[in-house]
Amino acid sequence: MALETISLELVSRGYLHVLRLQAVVHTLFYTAIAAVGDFAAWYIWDWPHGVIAGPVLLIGLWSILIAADRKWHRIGFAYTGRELHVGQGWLERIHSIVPIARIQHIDISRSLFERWFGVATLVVHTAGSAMTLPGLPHDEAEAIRDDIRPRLTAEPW
Amino acid sequence: MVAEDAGRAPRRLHPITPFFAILTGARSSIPTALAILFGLWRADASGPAILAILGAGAAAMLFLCWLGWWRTTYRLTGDELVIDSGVLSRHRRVIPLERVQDIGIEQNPIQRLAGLARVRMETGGGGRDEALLDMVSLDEARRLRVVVRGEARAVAVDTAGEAAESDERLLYRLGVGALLLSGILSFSLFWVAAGFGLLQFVDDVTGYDLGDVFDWFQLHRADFTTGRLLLLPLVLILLGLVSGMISTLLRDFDFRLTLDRGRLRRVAGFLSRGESILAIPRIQLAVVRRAWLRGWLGYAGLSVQTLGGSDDPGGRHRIAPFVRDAKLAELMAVSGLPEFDPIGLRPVALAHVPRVFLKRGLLPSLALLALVLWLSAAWPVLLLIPAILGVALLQRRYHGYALYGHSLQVRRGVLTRRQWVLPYDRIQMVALHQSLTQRLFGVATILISTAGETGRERPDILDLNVAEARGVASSLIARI
Repeated sequence: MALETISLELVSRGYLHVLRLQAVVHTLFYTAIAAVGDFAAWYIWDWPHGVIAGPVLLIGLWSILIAADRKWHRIGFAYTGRELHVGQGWLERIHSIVPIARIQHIDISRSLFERWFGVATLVVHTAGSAMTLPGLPHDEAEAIRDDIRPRLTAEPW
Repeated sequence: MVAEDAGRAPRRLHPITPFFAILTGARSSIPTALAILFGLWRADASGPAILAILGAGAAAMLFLCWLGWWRTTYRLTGDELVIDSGVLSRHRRVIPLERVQDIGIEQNPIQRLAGLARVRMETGGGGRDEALLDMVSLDEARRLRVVVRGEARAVAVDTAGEAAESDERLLYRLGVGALLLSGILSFSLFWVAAGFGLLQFVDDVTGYDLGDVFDWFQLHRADFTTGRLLLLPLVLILLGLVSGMISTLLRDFDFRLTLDRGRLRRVAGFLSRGESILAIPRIQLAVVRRAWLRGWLGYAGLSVQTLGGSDDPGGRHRIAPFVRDAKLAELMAVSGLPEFDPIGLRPVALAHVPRVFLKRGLLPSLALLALVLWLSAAWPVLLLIPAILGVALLQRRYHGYALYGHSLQVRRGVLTRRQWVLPYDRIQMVALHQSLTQRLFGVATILISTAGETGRERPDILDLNVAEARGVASSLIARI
């Protein structure tokens, strides 16, 4: 199947919320650390407040409001029944193709945030490397898994 | 323990194992021992008391090692190898024999003197060293090999090993002349670098540091004439020759490759003589390496990749270190792989040249310029910059790929030319990758994933025009 004819589908919008929430958690974490640094710098060297935490917070807001959306827009997938395509990456792009006949085992994982928004991450393993497809609606992930399951290779490689 | 058939009772490793374990463990316990000694010395303990305490410590360690040995057993139950280990928390590992791909018997110098060996089995379940029996007697190692290879029917255990060996056909042997030639041509700066690393370590211990060296250079800067600076590369070359010679002799001494019922068996080495066996159907791909001096004289090294990986450098089994093309073709045929054919290779995009220079050449060039600005007597190094540019041009010339009837073939590298032969049915996954600069140039890299891949020497095709890359990726997928 020619790659030009493969059009990648966007993943579930729920995954955008997951990415945003993850960015919020990271922002809170790093801003808290930076705030401690800020306090120490003020205490020891009398630095003005917010010189460390401010920029960190700005980067955090950028990651929540802009980067998460860009990242989500660039994730795409296509399941043709014969192979699984996944494209991702914003600055650096990668389009991976796994032939279903090469899949050794298959996992579905769901983090807390993913459960909140009803999405799941599908991980397919070949004898070489593994490929991760995040942001599928849970029932769709299960449908793909159930479709692949009877075709898992029994060969040791 | 459960009831078992006679001859399948649990066995232990050789009883000498705890003593070896304490020797290898001794190095790590030296700091502790020193700390205790120091503490005792501060506490004004008497000589006999110190000796008694150290003796008790050594005895305790020996007891722990012995306990570890006592609690480690292995047994063969018909079609499985079961290894039990652990002093307090028990750990059981069950390895189905039909899944064992490679079984290797290795001996280091001490083990050779004592008639002991290390048995390694690989099942290719992802993790490496799935079954490692360190320190069994050589006879036991041979017995295990016979059983694991499904030759349990053989009459007597100790004659079976010999009988199996007599069936073998010698495929390749590295003679003394070829070994010496290969040693001379294995010019390697690796061991020189390792030597410098060691010096650095000694410096750390003696409190002598790199800053002092720099100061010394500053002080004597006027003494460096161009003539003297040119001596430095000569010394490096000599060191590289000697170290390459020694490492080749140690590794490839009396290299033999034999074929026995669909399995390749390799024995090689001077001080530590290792044996490894691999089943031909498990071979995923072949890499032919033509390292510069040897390559120019028409010699190549052949290695193959299997799922379980290998202890050899690069994670692939070296099955012939120094062969000419005729022998290479014969070995490839035995391994069930088509021959590498450079005729039909297609070039990659022109953008590969600037990309290589940006990635690899820019920083060294700037560093050389900086060096000359600082130490003007070193001007001859500027001659290296055109060489770097030339290498970038040649990179594209020597990089090529072809989709033949049964295999993908890729060639890459200028000084060390590597050729991959990868049957289509061994491809696991294909990916198109575009970095930021690749997007500017409109090119993409095809990453090809295979079973048991390790390191950077993968059969990837770098910098194809995007449309062509898409076409190649889809035809690869279509042929799997």
